[in-house]
Amino acid sequence: MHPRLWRFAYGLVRNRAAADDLAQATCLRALEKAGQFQKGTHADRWIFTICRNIWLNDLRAGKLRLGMGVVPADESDLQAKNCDPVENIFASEVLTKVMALPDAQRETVLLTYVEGFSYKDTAAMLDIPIGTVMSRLSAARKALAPLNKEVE
Amino acid sequence: MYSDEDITAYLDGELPVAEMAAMKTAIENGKIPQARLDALHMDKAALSTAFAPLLATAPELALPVAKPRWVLPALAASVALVIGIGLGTRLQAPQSGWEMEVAHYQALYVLETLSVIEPDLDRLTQEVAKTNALLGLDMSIETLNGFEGLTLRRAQVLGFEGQVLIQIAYTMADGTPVAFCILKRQNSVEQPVSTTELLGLATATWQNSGYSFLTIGGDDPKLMADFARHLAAAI
Repeated sequence: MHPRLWRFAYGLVRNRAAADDLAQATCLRALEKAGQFQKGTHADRWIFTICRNIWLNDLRAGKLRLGMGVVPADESDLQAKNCDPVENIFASEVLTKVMALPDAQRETVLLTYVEGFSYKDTAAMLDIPIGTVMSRLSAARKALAPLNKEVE
Repeated sequence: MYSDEDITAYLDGELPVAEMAAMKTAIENGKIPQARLDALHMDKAALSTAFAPLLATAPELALPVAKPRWVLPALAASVALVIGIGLGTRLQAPQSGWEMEVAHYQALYVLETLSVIEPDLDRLTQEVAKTNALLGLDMSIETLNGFEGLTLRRAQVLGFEGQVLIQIAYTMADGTPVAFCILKRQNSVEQPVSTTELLGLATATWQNSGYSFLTIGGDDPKLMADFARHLAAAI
């Protein structure tokens, strides 16, 4: 679970050091709130929700505004090892495009397309209607579509 | 007329079955212009592939030591397992397996766990005799029950990786559970008493040839160290 959490955190904050901090803060909060976790429910959704709430609070508090620029495709860190270089370039471009999405679209894309949650689960985690998930994903698809054409 | 949101949901397979079929028919019949579909086309597999390497670059967590609490560790352990941080290996200083196994077990004890067990001398004598036989030691009831402030409650036989693990359980005056544990171990080397904290529990460990020892419970490391020295001097 932790690698997925860290990846989600990285997708939100777009900065490796900040992702480390966010993932750690999330784990601490989850431990503190362990008594509130309902057995039989999905721990990953619960933890992703905690992570996203901390991120939102940090954004509101202005903690993430400075020095947290987009560093979306650090090639030494993020590329698959032993992969076709062309594939790596493509992956890097995809990452760059996703990371450049507005926050609301990006968090929705991360949960739905990267983590594979359903619209319903994503809506619940983000506390928004399913229609909003659809409109965010629609907008994100339009933003990402040019990438397909460039590569093709 | 279909909206972009409808088409997106169709592409993601998120529409109800009947609407999926209707949309498919509409596309096949050319009722939705190809340009609209192209504008929403996205290679989901490529996206998934692009993000996959991030999983391998996630750092290990280094969380601070948990504060001593009796109930929290048991609850937190399940969450920690899900997160994958493993309270035993990440939250604390690294420890070899058995100490942390003991700590997890001990963390489940609450004030009421041992206080209901009457310290019956005959029963305790039998339990200690059995313990001595299994371990090849000669611990006396007087030694085991001779540390001020702790009441001997029970000695039980457990196991760890095929080796005998004995847990001798005590309570403090307020019911706080404490344990003295012994693991029979070949090749263990002499090590003096040292203290640490496992899952928020004060812990002291030491070894001699053939055995590893541990005292654990409460939040006072000095108490656990003193208890450990009392035992180490007599065993």
